Amino acid sequence: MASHGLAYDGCNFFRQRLVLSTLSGKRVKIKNIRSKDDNPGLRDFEASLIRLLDKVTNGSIIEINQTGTVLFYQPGLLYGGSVEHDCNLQRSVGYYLEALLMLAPFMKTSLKATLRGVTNDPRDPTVDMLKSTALPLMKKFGIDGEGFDLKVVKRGMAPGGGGEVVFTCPVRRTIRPVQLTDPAKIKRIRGVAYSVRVSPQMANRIVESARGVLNQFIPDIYIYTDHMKGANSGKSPGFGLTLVAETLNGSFLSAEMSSMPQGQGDPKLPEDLGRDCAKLLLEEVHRGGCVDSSNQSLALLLMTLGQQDVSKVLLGPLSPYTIEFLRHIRDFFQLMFKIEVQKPSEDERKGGDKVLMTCVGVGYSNINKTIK
Amino acid sequence: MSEEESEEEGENVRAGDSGHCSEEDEEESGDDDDGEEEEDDKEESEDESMEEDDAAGATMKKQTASESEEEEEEQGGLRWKEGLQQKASEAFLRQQKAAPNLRKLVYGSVVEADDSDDEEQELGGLFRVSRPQNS
Repeated sequence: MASHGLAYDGCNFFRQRLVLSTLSGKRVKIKNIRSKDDNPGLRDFEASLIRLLDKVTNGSIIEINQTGTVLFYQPGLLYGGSVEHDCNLQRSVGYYLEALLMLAPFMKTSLKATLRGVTNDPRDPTVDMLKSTALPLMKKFGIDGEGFDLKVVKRGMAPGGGGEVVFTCPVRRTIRPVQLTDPAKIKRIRGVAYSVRVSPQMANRIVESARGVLNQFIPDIYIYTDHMKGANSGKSPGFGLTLVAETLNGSFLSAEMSSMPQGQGDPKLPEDLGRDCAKLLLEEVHRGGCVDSSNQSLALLLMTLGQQDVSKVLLGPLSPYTIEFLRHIRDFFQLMFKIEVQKPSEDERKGGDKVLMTCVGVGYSNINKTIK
Repeated sequence: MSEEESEEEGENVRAGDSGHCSEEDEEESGDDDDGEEEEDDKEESEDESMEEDDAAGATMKKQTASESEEEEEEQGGLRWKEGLQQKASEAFLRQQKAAPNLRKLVYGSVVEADDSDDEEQELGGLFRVSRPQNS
């Protein structure tokens, strides 16, 4: 057991396991990856993620058996630097970026990653969403500075892709513990309605219908329209909307929706898309908390890796992905969170039940970073 | 005729009518609804005041909870089908209110990763060799 590090079964939560393995330095062995499937073994997008991990680390040992059903991963040191990666088109750049966001602060040199592929699809968090929620969240943990940025150079919709994203992140030696327990009220709503290779009017139609829903609640709404043309517009047509609600205490809650990829599913009217997305945002606000549901695991990871001090974060209902992430944190870092349910009082009317997560950081310090 | 008398009359008529509903049902519905009783009564009294015939209609307001339930049974065996969605949603909310121990739910079942399988038995992690090859 000890010689093999941690062992897991099946293809689920593949990304979590590899990221936590890299951060903790523990070897991981994953068996029975789709071994009963007609098409067994790792998928192309997973192989692509492994290749990306190989690029940002130094000295990783990766062994995959012939059929791709067993993976052994011994992480090396996180090196960082300038990295270019062509992401697999099966998943969007967000899939890869979420992993990089977790790793980037702990590199040896600051990361400058250029990722190419699908920037927006209905399945993964889009680049716009990560830019407007994950980055401000990381800033609260003391990861900021001028080199901290996520830029959409070219937009590429599924299935063709052709987008390009540049992510730069400075390195930190330690992570600051946080106390985020009061989300406060919604201050303003911002958003981006994007359209590529369709009429620029689509974005305006989305904005109009989304505002129709949201204007009943708050006047301070601004939704940018972003229409990219020519070489910056990728290979496939599509449109979508990302909405972000900012609270008085600087928490961000977001919702998003993209048009279905060309040739898959029923086409959606921009009006419907805008209205549905606005409703999703309202639901997200109802769930509430200081971190929105798509970034729960990122916040929990940064709490875990904080200095040896108490961190508290108020979350909305835990997502299944987050629950599994908590279990993995226990496996890799031997850390269990204190989980308390907080019911909103009757007269307060603050939406659904909240969960207060408390932990003492493991006192992780970035051993990769050079001391000057 | 005093109001009390008319009420009695109405009750008698009902008792004669309700052949299709058993005692059990009545008790059950009485037990279940403690939280929702007030609402139910209101709805029923509204319904009935519209449908009910002359004598009973006048005394509607005075009815006790048990009587109104009798009324419910009387109107048809399929009455339970009404408001199923609402009942389900109320049951769901009630369940949600009983605060679960999240820590136990998240960390409760300790899954031990089993690493004791011997490697030699498997070809490519997919096929299992049942007997050694002869060639």
